[in-house]
Amino acid sequence: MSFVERLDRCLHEPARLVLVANLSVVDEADFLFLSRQTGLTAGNISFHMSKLEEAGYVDVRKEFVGKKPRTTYRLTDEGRSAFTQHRERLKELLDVGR
Amino acid sequence: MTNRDVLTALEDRVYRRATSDGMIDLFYGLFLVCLGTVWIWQSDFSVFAILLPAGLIPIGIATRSRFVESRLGYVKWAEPRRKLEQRDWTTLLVSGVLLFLVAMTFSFVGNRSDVSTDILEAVAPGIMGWLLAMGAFAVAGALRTRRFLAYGSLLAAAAAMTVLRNSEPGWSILVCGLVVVAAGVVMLVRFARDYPVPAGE
Repeated sequence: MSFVERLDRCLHEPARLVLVANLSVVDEADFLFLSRQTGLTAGNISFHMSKLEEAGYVDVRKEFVGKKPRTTYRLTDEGRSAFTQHRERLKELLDVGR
Repeated sequence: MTNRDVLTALEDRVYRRATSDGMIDLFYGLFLVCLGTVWIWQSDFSVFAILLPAGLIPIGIATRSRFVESRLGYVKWAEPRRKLEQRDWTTLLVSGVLLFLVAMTFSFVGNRSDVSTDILEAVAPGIMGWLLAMGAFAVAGALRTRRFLAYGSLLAAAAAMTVLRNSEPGWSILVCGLVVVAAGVVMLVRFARDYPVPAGE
């Protein structure tokens, strides 16, 4: 299998990679926090998070805090291990290129 | 840099950004202002003013979570960071208790007529400032922030000046407090400007 085929296409998309990288260093974070950290717009985050949720990489929790709605995201175990693998493959690819 | 280092650096950056709102500076500065003001009154109970953080910390936490979370969003840090925070705040709490005990001891020894206090009297005006500087250095260690190193250095230098001039320590603590409050307000205004409350999700 070539390097290209071994890369996780779901994670390789830049916005999703940034979102997953940020989620990988915390336990969970809400929509606003991710938006502040990544600079991505609300529409972008919603779109990419639904893709990650479909892939089983992210758990989404919707709740009300007081009167305000809050959407919280958490990386699943599957998502965490996929991200670790993806990083290792990228590193391999870049190391071979040296 | 290894993969782990990259993620640690990312986590560190995210954490720093999420804790650079100036609220801690503001409350620490207010504590110094209160302490300086109480000290200037020259009450026998001035030493108890060092317990003010115990009252200010809950107010600070409640205010911070309302002000900061509504602008920056909610985050639950990963287990290693939560453990580190817990360890740092415990260290800070223990430092605060030690600071209080040292201040009490100095106050007690200073009031005893049978103990020779020549040296103590010479450095007495600076003792509280140096103890507070140690407190600021402890906060710098807990939060890994250079600002508190600067505040600690300012307090230590002001305490040394107080000793050299044999002046009232309360004033130097009050002035340092006002400087820290000003720094906190500037950071808070910047934070509020950079992160306005969003209309909704």
